[in-house]
Amino acid sequence: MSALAAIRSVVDYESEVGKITQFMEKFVDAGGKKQAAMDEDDSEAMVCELSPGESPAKYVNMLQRVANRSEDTVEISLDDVRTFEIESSGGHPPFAFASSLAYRIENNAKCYGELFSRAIDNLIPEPSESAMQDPEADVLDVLFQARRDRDRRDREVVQAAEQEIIKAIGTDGEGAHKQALGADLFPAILTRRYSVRFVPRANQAAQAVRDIGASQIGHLVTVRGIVTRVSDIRPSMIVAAYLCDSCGCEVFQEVKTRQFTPLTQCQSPRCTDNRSRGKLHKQTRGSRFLRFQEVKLQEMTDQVPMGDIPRTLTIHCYEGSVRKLNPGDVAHITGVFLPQPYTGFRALRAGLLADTLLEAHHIRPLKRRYDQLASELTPELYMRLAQLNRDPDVFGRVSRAIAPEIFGHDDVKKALLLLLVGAPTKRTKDGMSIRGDINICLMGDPGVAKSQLLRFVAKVAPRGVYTTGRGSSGVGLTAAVMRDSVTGEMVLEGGALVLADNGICAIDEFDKMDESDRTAIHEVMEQQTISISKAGITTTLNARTSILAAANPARSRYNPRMTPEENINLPAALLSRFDVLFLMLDRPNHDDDLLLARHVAWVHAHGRHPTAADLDGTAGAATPEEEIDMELLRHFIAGARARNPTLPRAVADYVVGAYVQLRQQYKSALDSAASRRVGGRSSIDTGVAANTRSNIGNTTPRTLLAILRLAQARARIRAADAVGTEDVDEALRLMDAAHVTLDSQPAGSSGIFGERQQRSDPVSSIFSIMTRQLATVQAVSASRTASMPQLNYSDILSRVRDAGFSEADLSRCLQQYEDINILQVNLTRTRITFVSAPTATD
Amino acid sequence: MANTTAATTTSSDQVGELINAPKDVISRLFDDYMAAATTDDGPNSRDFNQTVQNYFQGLLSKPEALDRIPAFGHSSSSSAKNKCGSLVRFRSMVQDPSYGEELHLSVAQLVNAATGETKLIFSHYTDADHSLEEGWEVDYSSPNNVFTEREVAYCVSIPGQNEWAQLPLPVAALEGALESLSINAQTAKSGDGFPKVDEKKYPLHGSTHSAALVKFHSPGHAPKVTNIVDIVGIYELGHNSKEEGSGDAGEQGRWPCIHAIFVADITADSLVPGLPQPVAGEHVDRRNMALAHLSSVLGGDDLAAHYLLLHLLSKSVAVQDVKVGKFSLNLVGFPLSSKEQASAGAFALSNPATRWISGTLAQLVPRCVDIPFELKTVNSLSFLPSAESGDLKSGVLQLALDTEIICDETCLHEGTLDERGLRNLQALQSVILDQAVTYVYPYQPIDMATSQRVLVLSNGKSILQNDCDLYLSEAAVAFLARIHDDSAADFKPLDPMHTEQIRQYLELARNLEFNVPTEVSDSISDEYAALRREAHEKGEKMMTQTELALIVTVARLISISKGEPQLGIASWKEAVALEARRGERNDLAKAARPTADAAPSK
Repeated sequence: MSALAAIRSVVDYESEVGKITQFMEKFVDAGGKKQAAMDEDDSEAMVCELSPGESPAKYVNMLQRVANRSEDTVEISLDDVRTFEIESSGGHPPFAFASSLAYRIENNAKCYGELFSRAIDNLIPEPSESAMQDPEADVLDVLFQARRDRDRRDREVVQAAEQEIIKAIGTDGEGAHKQALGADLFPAILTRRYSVRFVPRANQAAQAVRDIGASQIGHLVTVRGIVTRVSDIRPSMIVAAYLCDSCGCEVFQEVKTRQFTPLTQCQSPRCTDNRSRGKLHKQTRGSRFLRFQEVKLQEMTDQVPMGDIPRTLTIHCYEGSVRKLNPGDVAHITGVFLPQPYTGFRALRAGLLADTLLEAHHIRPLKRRYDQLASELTPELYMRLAQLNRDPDVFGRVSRAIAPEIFGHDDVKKALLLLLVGAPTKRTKDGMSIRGDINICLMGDPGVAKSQLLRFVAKVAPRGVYTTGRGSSGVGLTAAVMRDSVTGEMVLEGGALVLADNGICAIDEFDKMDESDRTAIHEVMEQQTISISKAGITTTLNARTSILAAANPARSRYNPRMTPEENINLPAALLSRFDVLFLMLDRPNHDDDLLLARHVAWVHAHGRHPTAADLDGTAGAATPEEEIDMELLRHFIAGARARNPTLPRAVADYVVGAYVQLRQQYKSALDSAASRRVGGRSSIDTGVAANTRSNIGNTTPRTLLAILRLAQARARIRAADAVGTEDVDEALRLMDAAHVTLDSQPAGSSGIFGERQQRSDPVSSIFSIMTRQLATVQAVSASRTASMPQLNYSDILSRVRDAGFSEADLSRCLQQYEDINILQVNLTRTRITFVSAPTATD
Repeated sequence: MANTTAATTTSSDQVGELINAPKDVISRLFDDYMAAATTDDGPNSRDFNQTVQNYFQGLLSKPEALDRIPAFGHSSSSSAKNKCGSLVRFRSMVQDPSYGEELHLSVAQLVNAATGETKLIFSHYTDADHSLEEGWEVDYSSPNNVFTEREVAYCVSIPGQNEWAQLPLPVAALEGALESLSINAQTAKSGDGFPKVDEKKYPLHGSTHSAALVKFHSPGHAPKVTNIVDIVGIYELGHNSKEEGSGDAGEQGRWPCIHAIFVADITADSLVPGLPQPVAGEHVDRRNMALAHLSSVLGGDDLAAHYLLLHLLSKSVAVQDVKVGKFSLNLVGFPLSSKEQASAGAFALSNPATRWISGTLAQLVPRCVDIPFELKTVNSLSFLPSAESGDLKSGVLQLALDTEIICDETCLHEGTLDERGLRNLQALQSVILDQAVTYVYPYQPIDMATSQRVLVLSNGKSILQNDCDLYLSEAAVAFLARIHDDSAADFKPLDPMHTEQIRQYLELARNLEFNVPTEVSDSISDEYAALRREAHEKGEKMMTQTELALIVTVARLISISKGEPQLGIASWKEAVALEARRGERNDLAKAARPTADAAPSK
């Protein structure tokens, strides 16, 4: 490998060291310049971090700190090198980067590291006074002191001896003795108390593991990836020290390979002269070790081409780079890409092969951000994103990109987009945080593709977790104590809710969930934490997640003849924690059905989703909308989440006004319902509660927060700095849209908040008679446990007749309910069996 | 005539040399190349590499020549071994391409220390055999040295590949196979000198297979995970860069390696060689033949045969994030296997009825994998590939594209499904629903798109959610219940010619380009909307988007089965009728089985 470098080398390394020295001495960064300017102005306002008395040259200061032992890493910023070169070339306009020192460093980083060390060895100052008083000298200091003392003694002895020798035999012996002295010098690396590290240029792009190849050997490269494994920190020997038992010489051996053969025989002149074959003993104290850590870096999902699997790269971290990374971290790691020849027996096997590794220079862990999953923003993506943001109907367009294979449900999709974007989390001064995550519950008939919507949302969101209420209890929604497969240690493994921290947890079949899990959800939805008490571990984990739940109605299909409460079998306390509750019912609409069917056929025909124009059959008439793929969608959401819109006073007042109005409507609705309930007690109608706005549509203080969150999320989507009244209107509209679906049972409601006509059709009346009778029967027999409660047909018939209905009405009612599988009538028409017991209403 | 014979002889001699001593041929080519090259330029490795590939491909393009190359390591029963340094052919699946790139000195300058002579060697297609003649050393400082990269992947024999679709065993090996038929797989596996395999890196744990580290010499074109490749390359023993430390002792530390020279195509033709392409109209004949065969296998259940055929023709196509065209089928009505029945192993069916179906399908499709749902199996195996320990371990579901997965639910008995079992079933479910397999990587599980057909054979409705389920007719149920181990002998086997025709038909039809004309799409839409309105007015259950999608899929498959590249109204009508028959059949069957249907369907 070194052969390759040697061929190309037309560089005069001595002059390079000169250039480096000049750079280290002269370079003044922006902060230093400012200080220099201020010193001249005699200004007192010192803003920069440099303490007074330091020289403006950045690296001179750094070396001083190294000499004072307050630092052990010399970080050379390649941007500084470049800047210095441009400045010192007299601001001569653009000279090619390819002929600059910075470029040469990047292409031969290992070698230039050594050159920098050489330059620094010459430059490094004596420790300043204050540092010298530091009493804590370490082992090496003591050793060096001893070595220096010995050297001085030796020199005196030698000089005395030399003079004697010169006197005795003339000048012949002098050269040999000088050599002997020279050989006794310490290897440079032994005395270095620092390591040189290069900081990459700011505009150096991070690559994927698979992009790094043979052409980059010896180069300084930057890779991005996820850390999967980190070894313990081990000492790595770079200089081995030996002591000779016959001559007392200290012998040093520099270790440059992974494995080395220890010296055994003393090679000092005294031993060779005397042929005493002094035995060498390894000296651990005198040797130099580096802190060393091996890290495995794996490609991120977005860097892996379709259908491929991630690759890994071994990173070697020394000294200052150790302990920077933990498993699971995402980081940019800059380092020198080096080949590592196989050693020992494997070298024979491997032949002309070499392993590769990256020697870390600079590590920049990335914060766990929303756009972590999204790939790097390419210029092309940036343009598309900018174009999208300019679209006046950005909200509509992006929301249509959510689960494009599912047709219609525009308002649901809009709400889901708001959920993905979320509102900023507020933290009050006393440390209380107000959640910005939006929780949504979708309730609906089977076959309306709730699950697909959930899956899509979980897929788009980084840290999106999809789980089902039924399956979750097995694997654990909260957390589980597991044994780590590699180390064998017990670890606390987060369940779905913990994994979705800062993400979205989509829970399907919410209604089938275990009671204990539901309790955990309560905590997550308001406090955004999870308390765990398992296997002796009690802890609280963060679960700042949005909950997107989907549930089926109580009897699998929404029964329009029952109240919403009866249909939704979830406790009100849980329901009120959802910002928006959508009821997705399957009802025919000729136009929508047509479009949907065309959509399905189109997908089969063309292998892609159709655009609106494709389906209208008016191709070319409308401007073709650019397709929003998942990549763009993720970037859009990431961009939107970065914004933090404010709430102007006027808009806040507007929200308050709207809220107060809602409360009043709610109150009057309650009142009228109550009065009707009092007056209409005798009337046979269980639909009373259904006539008012159900308590699912409650207006509570939580509603106010929900409106605010939705409005803020929409402002983020609009890329606005402040929430506008139109955002509030849209938020209200969406909540209403959700309520409309709740209230419009059956079709033909009269307005959103308005009263609905008294429902008095015989079918529902008869059903209510039956449910009440059922409740009485059960109360009497106290056999609630009986799985299938039964009623006597003739008994019911007589009650129905009393209420003024005919037997035909009854059979019609039975027929209808049989169809939706709620009850069954036996063939002889003597018994009515309830397939599942209806929850007794008032 | 005489001339042609002579020509064939020479070319066949060349082929023989190519197979037995490919390295000699390459070094001769290299010498010629260097002689022809202008002296100023150094050797151009890439250019020369192309020359080698062209030469090999040119000589081996004919199937006769290709078939002469011995297959790599296949047979467990044969004592025949592949010769190191010879040309082999390996039809395999890429299990783990993450070995990454390997750096390699492909052209090295040698210098003789004694005489000062220099020469160049080309060591592109070899690692181990660079033993140098006395006195020669590699001159590492020479500007003529060329470093190249190559991609390394761990390839295994295609899981579930049926015998007829495998490479024919070479004659010598066949003789060996006859001799050693009595030797069981165990001794063959542990037998000395057999190339090493990593059991954990084969999807069907515990099954006999071969594996090799394949080195691809044109970086960037290396195949992806689970791709099927038919590799022609030089076989040798080499070392494994992922194996840490100790395994260095002698032969045991050496892994079989194949230096791929080129990758042959696998087409329908290569599966059913020598069969002419069917002409227009013949598709329908073939279809009827296939239907008749399947129907007789299913005890005369015509409807089930129809659905089974559609299932065999299905192939999922990704439309952005959804999969279209997948058609997993659940056939209900198989006899339960008795609890006492001895388990036949992790991937073998013990129930004669399900084995009967599986055996039939194995004759028709190139790959199929049987998974008996025994609690023990489901709880102990790992269905998903996992790289949590660093190396990519395989899982049952890491299969090549278009593999038929036959799940036998008849041997599922009461018991406890533990966490692993639950995860395994969920994994299978996501293959059915999303056609995706999750590769468990630390901190970031990766969903990989796949395309598998899942057929669930069960007694009652399956615990897995399938695209389509069908209760078998009473006659079929009775027929299947009567099947016992010897009944295959009573059954008249299909004419081999017909078998081949059906195989070809299935392969061709499955890969047909497909299209839906606008008129058809419009009329479907109208019909759908009308049906929904009608149903709503009557207060009946309305057709949902999912149901519509299912009927469109059925219609699509019916069109394909007739060899029509366009969806016709006739096929649509047929699909609706077929679905109606299925619904009727299922309702009747459910009514007849009161136990299964008392609880409301969720």
